[in-house]
Amino acid sequence: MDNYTVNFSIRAEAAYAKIKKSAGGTSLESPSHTLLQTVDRLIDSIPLDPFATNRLTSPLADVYWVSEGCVRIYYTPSSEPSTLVIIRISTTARHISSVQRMQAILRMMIASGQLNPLLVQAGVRPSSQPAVH
Amino acid sequence: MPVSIPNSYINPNVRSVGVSKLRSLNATQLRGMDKTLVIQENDQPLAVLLKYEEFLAMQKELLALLETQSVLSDQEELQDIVSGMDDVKKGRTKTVHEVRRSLEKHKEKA
Repeated sequence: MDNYTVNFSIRAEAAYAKIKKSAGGTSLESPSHTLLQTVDRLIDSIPLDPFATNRLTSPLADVYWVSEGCVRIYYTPSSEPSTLVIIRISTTARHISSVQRMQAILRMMIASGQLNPLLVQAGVRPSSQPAVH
Repeated sequence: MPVSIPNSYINPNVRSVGVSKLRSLNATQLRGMDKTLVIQENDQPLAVLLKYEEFLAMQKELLALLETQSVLSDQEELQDIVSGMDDVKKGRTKTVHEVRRSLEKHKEKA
């Protein structure tokens, strides 16, 4: 039993309306309808256990997300009690080059020492070791 | 090239052990393991053995970092999120229930 109310931001509402409109009048097996079902399923899953899912890191640490296939839904808690707000619905798959770019950026961040506090905490980098170049 | 990390540097929960230690570990010991083990031979680290929960936590941290980096590098995604956060602050939101109902009504009329 969930006790959370889920809201849409303006842009998320527009994105949802667009997905719903695309699915309208199509067969149940159409890609548009499948997409709508996935989005609806993800939205309905959010209030079940909203903070047990994935969370972004600083500077977006208040943002959580759920995903399935190419659909990613980002949400954040509202200042109103027990209220969550969906702020972005993304339905585009991450391009493989984006993933490779992210990994390259991560490697650079590790090499530059930006992630040292996290790595030290995880026990995989000595606290006094200089960055690896 | 792998970097060898002296034991003294590492988190106190990390312990270096010889390969032979692996043979002596059974399921009960693995369940009760409270340290991360760096498996080494002739002082050369070869592998790391850690609790599955810790591995998952590290994967989750990594996923969060990658996802954040991805959002920050995508202008459209970032703008939506920033604008959404602003909507939240200013109370410009509608409930999912309300939006779904409104779209259904609109569909019926059409």
